[in-house]
Amino acid sequence: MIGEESADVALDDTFAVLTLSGGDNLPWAGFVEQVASLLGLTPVVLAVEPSATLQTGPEEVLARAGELTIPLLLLPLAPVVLDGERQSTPGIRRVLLPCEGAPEDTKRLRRLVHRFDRAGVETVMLHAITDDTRPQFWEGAGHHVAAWREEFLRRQGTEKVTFHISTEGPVDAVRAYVGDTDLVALFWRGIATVGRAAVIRAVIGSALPIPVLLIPTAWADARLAAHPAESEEPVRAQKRSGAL
Amino acid sequence: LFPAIPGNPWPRNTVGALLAEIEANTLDARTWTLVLDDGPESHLRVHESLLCVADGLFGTRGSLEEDGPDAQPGMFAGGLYERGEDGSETLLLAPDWTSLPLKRPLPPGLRVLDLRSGVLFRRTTSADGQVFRSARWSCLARPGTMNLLAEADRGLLEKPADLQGRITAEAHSSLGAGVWGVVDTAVSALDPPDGAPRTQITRLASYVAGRRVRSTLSGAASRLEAARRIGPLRLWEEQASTWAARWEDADVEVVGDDEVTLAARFALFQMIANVSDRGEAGLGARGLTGSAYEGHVFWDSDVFVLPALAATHPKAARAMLEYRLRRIPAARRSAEALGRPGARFPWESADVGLDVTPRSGMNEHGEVVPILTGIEEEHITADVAWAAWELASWTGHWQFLDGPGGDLLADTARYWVGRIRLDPDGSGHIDGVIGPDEYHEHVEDNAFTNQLAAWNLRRAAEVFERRNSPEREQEIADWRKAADSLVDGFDRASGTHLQFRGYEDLEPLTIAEVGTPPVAADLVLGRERLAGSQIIKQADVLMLHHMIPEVMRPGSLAADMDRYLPRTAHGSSLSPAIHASLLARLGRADEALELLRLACRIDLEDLTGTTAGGLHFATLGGIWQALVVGFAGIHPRRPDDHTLHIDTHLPEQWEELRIRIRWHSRSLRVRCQNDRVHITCDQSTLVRVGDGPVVSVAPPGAWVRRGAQKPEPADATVPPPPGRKDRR
Repeated sequence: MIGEESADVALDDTFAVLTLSGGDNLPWAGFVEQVASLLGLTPVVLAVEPSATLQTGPEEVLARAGELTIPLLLLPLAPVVLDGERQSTPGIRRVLLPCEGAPEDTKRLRRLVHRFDRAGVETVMLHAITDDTRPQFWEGAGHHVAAWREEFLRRQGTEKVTFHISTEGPVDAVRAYVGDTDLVALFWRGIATVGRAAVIRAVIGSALPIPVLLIPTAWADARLAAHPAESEEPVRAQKRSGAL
Repeated sequence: LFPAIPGNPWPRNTVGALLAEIEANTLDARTWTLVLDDGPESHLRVHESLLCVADGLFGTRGSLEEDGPDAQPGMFAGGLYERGEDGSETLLLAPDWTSLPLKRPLPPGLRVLDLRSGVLFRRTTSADGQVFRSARWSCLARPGTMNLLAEADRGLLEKPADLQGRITAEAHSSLGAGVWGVVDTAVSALDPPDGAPRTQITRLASYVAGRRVRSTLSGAASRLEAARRIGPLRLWEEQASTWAARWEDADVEVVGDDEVTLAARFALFQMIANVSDRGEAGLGARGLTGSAYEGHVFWDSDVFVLPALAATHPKAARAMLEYRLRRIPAARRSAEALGRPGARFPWESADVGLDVTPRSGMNEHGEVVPILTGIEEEHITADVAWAAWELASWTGHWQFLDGPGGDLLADTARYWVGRIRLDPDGSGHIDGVIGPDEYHEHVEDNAFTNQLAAWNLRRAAEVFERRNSPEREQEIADWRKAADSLVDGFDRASGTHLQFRGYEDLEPLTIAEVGTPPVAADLVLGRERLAGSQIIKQADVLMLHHMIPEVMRPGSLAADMDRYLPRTAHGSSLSPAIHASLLARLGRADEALELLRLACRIDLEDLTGTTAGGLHFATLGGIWQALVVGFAGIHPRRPDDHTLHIDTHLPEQWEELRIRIRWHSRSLRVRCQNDRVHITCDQSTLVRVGDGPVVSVAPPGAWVRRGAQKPEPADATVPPPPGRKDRR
């Protein structure tokens, strides 16, 4: 299936698999098929030589500029999977899903976690607190953290995840939790100007050992609109007591 | 017991006409209505908290009738808890009365909470143009009786005929109590010649919380029948007039600042709605608006909310104190368990009044860490005593202190005598506590705890000296001696109070080096570094200036403010309003207004990310206190001080601050301007404005100018309360 780009496959039914190592890492073909299964999409594998990449991004924010530019160009079209440095993957058991906590992400995250959950894949949600996302008020451990955590997860559309908060900064946070996961999944809003997409830049610019799945939010929203039924019945509302 | 109901007992289209009238009423006064429309779906739960309707006993979250994946519906009964297997006590989720089988998807639409009447109105239109309207309220005059009126274009409701009839609902607590409800739903079809066919719903619900099934069920049924006989129109009129009567003595209006006015009225509305004025009223940190903090009762209730009710509806404040009074035996057992005399109130209280503070909890990293507040945040014992004195001071009823209020002061004073450690030099110390600033645990001689304990001891001594009880002479002497022994943390060199012993040796960070407040300093610095720094979470020493200003050293407020404000993160939602109050007293009105606005936004804009779990009642009470105690400068000093002291400090942009309160059995309307105040009163009232002389104001009222020897004749009156005519 990999590499079998077909004329009758619609663009929004595909996702790109990017092998930054030039195709030497294809032992993770089974892994790609599992991603394809999770997303319900057809993979299109692109082997990219780092030296052949474009150099259009601002150097101060692109740690590995050449490797970043291609996925950023592709992202508006469809999801992209970049291979990691780990040479073999045991399949996807746990996915690390960093999230910023933006309300507009709710439906997208809910859909994604729902799909993961249905496939028996555990989601490890990671909220890396930054200067932009740090809560103003924080009462501390116990009741407040419990209330904040519950609401934060519900805003992401799901409570069926393992959840971690980190104050270490996005890159360190992701690095701290990738070890026990098999894939990092990230939504991207399609804005690559300086100062934006910091987490994505940091994650894919830091040579993670595991593959990274980048999902453009516009694409995800289009899928949601086209297939609304998929997002139904994700998380039950709190049951009304003695419901009428 | 439950006779079948004979269909809709009201004339056809009564529901539609009433909904139309309610809708017209809700849309005409922006400082009296909280208007919310479609927002992000993730904010639905925040809106549920904000739009809670309550009657003092029962609070129902403002959930959409049709639920949905983002909903967290719930009704809670005051004081009713469930005990978990681990011994924890949580607010019991009571049976629902607001759900309707609406076909989804239906947007939330326009929702308006009318603060004048406690009615929540909704109008929404489906994607294909079908209209749904509803109105619901919880009867303030009939706690436990609820109403839901709805009208839907035909086809919006699934199987409406199935709704017709009566059901009973119940929820039981393992603590032996429960909630029983009887719910009648009447359905009728309307086929107007000039409009779309519609379905109309009239639902009446009656709930009782208690411990005996038969009596509570029959009680609910008989109340329901009483409400049915009255009918929705008169129930709505009764609701409006009941709320109007409460607003007579409770309003706050800032002329020239609609934002603050609405926030203040919203705060008052929810405090009134969530606190019963009969029996006992234990108000959890989130009231009856949500289940966060498990419904546990903290000092938020005694120190932040109670003053507002003491000054507007003393019966409700008295019910709050009754909650504490009935738990004195448990507090005595807690003290005894520690080998101490007297009564020790728990940091977190629920059903029986024993400490329910969790001993461990999850931190931001998902790690389970010890929680020491239940062991060390002992100032709660003096906070409860302060609340008793505060109620007596607002009402002028020393009799309360001659009775149960004084007994409470004595029991708490006895605890402090046993808690104080005496050094050989005779100085008294309280070791191993947490003050209001929870960034620093296990500190010694926390100024707030020590001074409030000393205040508690002295007030108890004073009360019992007045009782003229010779058998208590030795104990009174012991109380005074203990109070005098306690170190107060005052540093003569700086003219400030040290928050606790060793505070000055900590890393001298200021909050500017950490971030722009409000800032979660613990998430920036980490707990360990934070505990080793001078950064504080909220008012600690400054809280003394707020609660017991009369015993603080003259001039020390300004010095303490200069020392601690630059070190305050405002990481607690309790912090901004109290600082606003104190800054206003210092004449720093613009800074005060900035922090007041922040406090006003905490729930309305969900600044904590946790309003979904319920409103922050300490913040709501703090908003009222900032306006009345801070900006207006009205603070009752003692129960036997029969002069109303007013010292107004308004920001330039405010034309006037108008306040309605009850004080010393008087109904007062106070118009505050910076150079004068106008008092409208129903009895002659002694008033002192600023440092001026005491003057007597006779009904109906008069202006009193700062420094004037006598009042000026009245030339204006405060507008009448928001009765139905005004709303129209």
